[in-house]
Amino acid sequence: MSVKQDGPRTLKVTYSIDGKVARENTFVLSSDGKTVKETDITPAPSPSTMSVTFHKS
Amino acid sequence: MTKMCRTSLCALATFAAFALPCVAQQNPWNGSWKLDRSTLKYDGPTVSVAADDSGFTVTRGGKAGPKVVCDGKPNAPDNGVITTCSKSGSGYEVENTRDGKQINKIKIELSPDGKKLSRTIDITPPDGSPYTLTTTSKRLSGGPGFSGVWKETSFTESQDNGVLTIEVKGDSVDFKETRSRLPVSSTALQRPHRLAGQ
Repeated sequence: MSVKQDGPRTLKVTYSIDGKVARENTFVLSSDGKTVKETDITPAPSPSTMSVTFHKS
Repeated sequence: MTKMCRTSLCALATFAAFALPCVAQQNPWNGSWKLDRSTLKYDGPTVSVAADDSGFTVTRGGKAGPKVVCDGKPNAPDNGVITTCSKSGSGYEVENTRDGKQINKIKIELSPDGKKLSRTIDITPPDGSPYTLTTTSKRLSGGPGFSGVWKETSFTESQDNGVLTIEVKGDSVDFKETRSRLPVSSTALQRPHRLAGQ
């Protein structure tokens, strides 16, 4: 697993298995700091995408 | 001396007045984040299933997996995994083991109208607590029975508490997703940019 900053409000989390990307999650913090939007991408051979919003608790 | 002491105290108080808000200020990423399920959008994977009287084969991304023979007997090992499949009601029950230990147990069911397929997977991770993954797929084509193309439309995980926790600490971040199949991790941040709050 690696975490990379992809901008001032973006964290990109990559999960790899045997050197191949198994899943890539991007977390974007809203400008008011109240929500985080996650986008979850799983590449081939079983590609899928998921997005969801989190609220600060 | 007294004057000097008063001056020092005054300076200290002034410093504290400015410093305290800085100490109290938190990184905006840090804390718990509650998942809002109403915002969930999911575009799941598509698989092709070819089933016959003896069992089934699943094809993902154009690559067919080994045929699962459903006669209640252990299949030939594939990468060290032994699969035992039995027919059960309107579906199958599949158990996968490695080195004599159960990896997972899968129940696959077809809805009475043949349009939905559900999978319930009881997973026993080697280094964690067992949990259950449930997926639902809709038929895109094919039939009757399990044969055809299916698209996953939803998934749930029993241990998903809907809470994401993030804590950025200098050059590392502690991170726990809502789905605990991925454990708490701390890793060095790669920093092409400054994060908000730093």
